[in-house]
Order: sequence, then C-alpha cells, then structure tokens
Amino acid sequence: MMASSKLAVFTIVFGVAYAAIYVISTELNLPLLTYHPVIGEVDFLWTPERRGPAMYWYGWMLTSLIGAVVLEFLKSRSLSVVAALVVAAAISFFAPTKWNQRLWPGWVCVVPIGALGVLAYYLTPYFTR
Amino acid sequence: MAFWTTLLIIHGLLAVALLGAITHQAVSAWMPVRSKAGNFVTRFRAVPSTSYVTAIIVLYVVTFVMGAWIYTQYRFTSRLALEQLRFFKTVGVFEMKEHVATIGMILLPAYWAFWRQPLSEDYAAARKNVTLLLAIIVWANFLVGHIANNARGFGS
Repeated sequence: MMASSKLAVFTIVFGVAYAAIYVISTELNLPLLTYHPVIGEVDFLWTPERRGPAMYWYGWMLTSLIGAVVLEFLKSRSLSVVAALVVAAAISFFAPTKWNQRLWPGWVCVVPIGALGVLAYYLTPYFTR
Repeated sequence: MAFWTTLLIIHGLLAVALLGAITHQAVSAWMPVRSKAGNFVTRFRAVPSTSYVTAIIVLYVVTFVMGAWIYTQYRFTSRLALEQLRFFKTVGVFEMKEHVATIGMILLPAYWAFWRQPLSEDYAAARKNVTLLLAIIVWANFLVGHIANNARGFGS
C-alpha cells in the first residue's frame, strides 16, 4: 500500500529525514547548541566541557529539526539552517503526485529502526569495557 | 533534591499512564475483538483504539519534556556516580534511552496522521506498525529508566 494523503506523506518524509539527520548529527557530533548543566549556560554549536559535563543531546535534536538533509550543509555548521521540516514539507507538497503515491508508509518504521540500530552499534563500547 | 525527586516521580507516573494507554491501543489494534467482551483479556483487547490517540500524544510529549528536564540533573549527579562505580552498562542503556525517546518523538506526527478520522484503509498496516513500534519504545524506555534509577537513583 502506498501513501496517498499529503499530510501523511509529509509526516512520513519528516520522520525519515529527521531519523537520518539525527544519526548523522549524533555520530559526527554536530549539535546546534551545547548545554552546561552545572553552570546552567548554553553555547551555540559544539563547545567543550566547562566546569562540569557538557550536554549535546538537545543540540543534536535541534540540529535534526532544522538541519539540512544534504551532508554538505551538516559539514558546515553555520549553514545548518535548512530544516528537516522544510525539506519534508517541500517534498510532500511540491513533489509530483506520482512520487507521493510511490512512497511506502513503512519507511516511517524501517528508517527509525535502522537509525536505532546504528545508534546502538555506536554505544557498544559501554557494554564491552 | 526533593524537587528533582518529585519531578522524577511525576515523570514515572506519567510514564505509567502512557504505558497503559499505548499497550491498550497496540493490543486492540493488533488483536481486535469482534464479539462482545468476555473475560479480562478480551475486554483489554476490546477498547476503542482511536480514543487513545490524543491522550498518547499528549502523554508522550509531556513525559518526554519532563525527562529531558530531569536529564540535566542526572548528567552531573547520578551519571557521574555511575561512571565512578564503573556501571558502564547502565550508563550505556541510559544513553540509548535518550536516542530511543527522540525516535519515538519523531514518530508521533506519522502516528497522528495514520490515526486521523475517518481511518484510512491505505494506512491500516502502517497504523498498526507505528503503534507497535511506539509501544515497544515506551516499554523499553520505561524499563531502562527503572534500571538506571535502581542502580543509582536520586537521593541514593
């Protein structure tokens, strides 16, 4: 069965794009911001620890939300302004109907599961120490 | 510390509500009951799936936001203790929890779209699959949260 509703197509593309960008931004460590919980300060982009641990998770989520699909954008952090949301919207609303009809809804499960597999693989050092 | 412990308890209670709702919906979506409800298991399966959608989305978002807030405290208290105690597996599964929670969050728009009334036959399979995946995510994160808290929870 293929996706037919534009709203459903948008949500599928958004989910797939976000999952892919999230894996990339996590593994290449490309947070849009860094939070320092001990001192309660937020820095733009990646910054090292300052008087306590630094948290990048919020930054990774933001990068994924407004980050670009194209790796070129992700390489250049200052250009990470193109949202997965915008890409998803553009693809779902402006792509020809034929493309939309070819979109399998199952991708919204398959890609996130794959993303989780990659993320779990990168966490294996915690379990092999 | 009392503030964070209270927040953690509320987070846990919201997670229990979410767990119940998503489990009910997943079971009724995968094993719908056609006849009149009989025993406990049949009644558990007989709930109207569509009525859970808004509650599940709201509960997920609120639980997620609270968890993300508590995470700031965990990062420089409980986690440091876990690392000093060399509980690396516990730290690892908690790291995974943050990723799993994020992936669950991004499934919500599609989940909502697939469950929109009137239900579309085009998305019958996708609806069931996304609901099941969301249920697995909620269960996994619930259990990992308990493991981490039991290992070195707030106030310990």
